[in-house]
Parts: sequence; structure tokens; C-alpha cells
Amino acid sequence: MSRLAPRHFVAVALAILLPFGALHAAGIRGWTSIVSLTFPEHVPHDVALFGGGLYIVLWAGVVLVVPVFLIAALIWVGVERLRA
Amino acid sequence: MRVVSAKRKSPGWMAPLTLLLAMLIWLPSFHLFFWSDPQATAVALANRQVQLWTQPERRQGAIADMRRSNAEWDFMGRSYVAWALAQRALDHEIPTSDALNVIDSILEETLKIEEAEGFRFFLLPYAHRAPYLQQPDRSLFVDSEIALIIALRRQVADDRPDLKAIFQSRVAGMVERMSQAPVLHSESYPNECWMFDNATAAAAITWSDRLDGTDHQAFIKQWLERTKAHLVDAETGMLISSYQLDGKVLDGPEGSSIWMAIHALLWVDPDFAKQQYALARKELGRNILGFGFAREWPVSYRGPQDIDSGIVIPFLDASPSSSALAILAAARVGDQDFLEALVSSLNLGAFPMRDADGGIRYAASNQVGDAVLLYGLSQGKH
Repeated sequence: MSRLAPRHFVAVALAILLPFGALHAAGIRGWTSIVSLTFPEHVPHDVALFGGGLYIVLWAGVVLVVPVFLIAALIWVGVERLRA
Repeated sequence: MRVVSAKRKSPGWMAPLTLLLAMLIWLPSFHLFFWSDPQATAVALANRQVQLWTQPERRQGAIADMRRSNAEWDFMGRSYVAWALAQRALDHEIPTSDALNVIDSILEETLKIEEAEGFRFFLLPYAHRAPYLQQPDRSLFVDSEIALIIALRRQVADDRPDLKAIFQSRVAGMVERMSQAPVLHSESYPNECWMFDNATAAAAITWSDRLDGTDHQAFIKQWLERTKAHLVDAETGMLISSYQLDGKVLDGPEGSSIWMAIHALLWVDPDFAKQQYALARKELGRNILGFGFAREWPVSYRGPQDIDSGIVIPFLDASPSSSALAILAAARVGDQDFLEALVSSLNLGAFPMRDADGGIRYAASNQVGDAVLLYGLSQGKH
């Protein structure tokens, strides 16, 4: 735990943001996958299935995890500056 | 500028403490990033829906997608757009002529299809499995929504004697069939009645009294008495959603039915509708960290997940259909806090997609879902 630093928090945020940004840029949006899994007769295609599912997981990360880790990194840097 | 030394060792509690502090800051406030003005969203939704109805090739694509899943959605998509545009015209949110153009084209095409293909064209396939118990075969689902479209359209402009005649004929037909039914509720499918449709029919009948001077007060009074006596769930006090012609329960209270019924009952018996809203809000409405959603079923009753409920999100039991229709009910009764919380959830989880020409649709939705949202968000002035 003591080896952790603010940069690791930023790395976690980037690890979520980058693949999410790639899916978003590719035009893939969520939910299609959930609809497809429950009503398989309406499955559009496998790429949407996989991409949509991943998009939703990453979207949850973007709104819940990324801001928390970035805010935590900022607080950490601020505290370290005060301690220095 | 002083730089924090990378080699300086932080105390072990720093990581969990900063994460905890960050969570305490972020979680209660992140709903604010998903707030949007319901009226601005309604304008964008209306732009998109009007484009669909003025560009037949785009509309056909949207309708074909829905009919692959559910023919009812094709029909309901028409109703909700027409109701919404009538409401927006009444509120002077769009020019009357623009609203009437779209409403009339919806009515013309829908009535033409009904005449050519039969009303079952707009029903799920099981409508063909058996004759209706009440003869001749008719569906209150189709009759009630067409009647309500014309009722709202006539409030915008009562300049079409042909539509007036269709309205009066549908109302007379509905009253006749409902009057002959054991609990005064008529079938949408063979031996299957829905509160959604019967409440809509009661609203259209009420509008008939206001628009044409008919007198159905005695019938409506009796209808309300039978409804309260036979079609209320004993556990929750909420209206049940589906039942046989004799009133035997098929499905208990459901979000995808109750919110729409409340919206319609506000025209019929506002006090009863508000009482039902309070119950539904308590049993189905949820608000977590500023995000609102509605369950499909109360805790005491769990029905089947189906095409009406949509995909029910595990653990939360949040239903997209129930949540979208909750927007309609919340807006109609003026429950602004719940309405804004529901809209925040919409922005978070339904993935808004903006068109280049000012329209909006939701990736998690379809044409009928967007039309329901449009109608719900068009209730803001009430």
C-alpha cells in the first residue's frame, strides 16, 4: 500500500478512459448488448454485442471510478504539498 | 514551483483515505453533471419525431425495427407522438399547423392500415389465437388510443367533422362493450383486459362529455366503483395491470401499466389518480444519489420480465419502460424532484444521441420509447 502514489490513481483512470474513448469514437454505444442477450431474436450482430457490453462496463467506470481516482489523486498531491 | 518528490514515501493510510474522501465528494454530486432542462430535451425529441413523420423513408426504417419486436410499439409510437404534439400545440410550444400536419398524417395512415389489415395488425400474434369473448372482435387497446388521439387533436382545432364522427363512433362502441362487461372493463386481447387501455378509454369517454356534450357521468361513476372494488391489489392498494373479462387477475401492479393509467385517470378522477400516484411513487419510485428510476413491480409482487417491462436491471429492479412512463406521471402530477431525478438517469443510462439537425434520440430506446419520453416531457406546464 505504501508504494502507491497519485500517479497510480491517474493510471487507473487512463486505463478506463482510453478503451472507452476508442469504443465511443468507433460509434459503439451501450445497451444494444443487454437487449440482445435478453431477446436473442433481435440480436443485431456479434460486434455490437461484445462492444456494447464492454461499453457499458467502461461507462460505469468512467462515471463512478475515474472521477473518484482523479479527485483522490488531486487530494493526495495537495496533502503531500502541505506535508513537504 | 515545488515538486513533490517521487521518492518521498507516503503513509500507508494515504491511498484509502484519499479514495474515501474522493468518494464522499463525488458520489453525492455526480448526478448534477447529468441534469438537463426537461423542456430543452422535449424540444430536441419533438424535432426528431417530427422529422420521422415528415420523412417517410426514415419513419419506415424506425417502424420496421419496432415491428420486428412488437407490433404494439408501431401503434403506440404513433399515439404518443400525436398526443405529445397536440399537448405542445396547446401549450404553444409548436405552431398549430405543424402539429396538425403530423397528427393528421398519423391518423390518416393508422386508420388506413386498420381498415386494410384489421386492428390485429397492431397487436401481438397471440391476438389471433382465439375469438374475443365480447363479439364482434375489437380491441380496446386500438380503439381507446385512436379515440384519445382525436380527442386531443380536437382540442387543438375542432375543424374536421370526419374525425369528430370517428371519435363519437369509437366512444359509443367502447361504452357499449364496457357497459356489457362484468367489471365494466373490456378486452384488449381475447379474454385479456389491461388497465392501461381501460383507463385510456375512460379518459377518451370523459373527453367526449367535454367536447360533445354527451353525458357519461353515471357510467364513469359506476366504472370507477367497479375498478376500485375489483381491480385493486389488496397488498399495495395499487391498480392491477391485466385481468380476464370477468375480473380474474392475470398480472398484479406493474410500472409499465400504472403510470400510464394514472396519467389517464387524472382526467377522469383526479383525486383517485393522485392517490394511485402516491402509492406507485412509494412502491415503485426510487431515488439513489440523485438518480431516479422506477421498478416494474412492487416488492410484494413480482411478475414476468417481458416485452412490456423491458430489461429489468438486476439488484436495483429498475425497469426502463416503467421509468420512462414514470416521467409521464411525475410530470402530470407536478412531482418535479422525481421528474428531474428520472431525467438525470435518462442522461446517464440511456445514451442520448444528437442529430446534426437538432433532434435527439436515445441509444437505449427506440421510436416508441422516445415518443413516450416526448409526451412525458411535454407535460411540463401542467
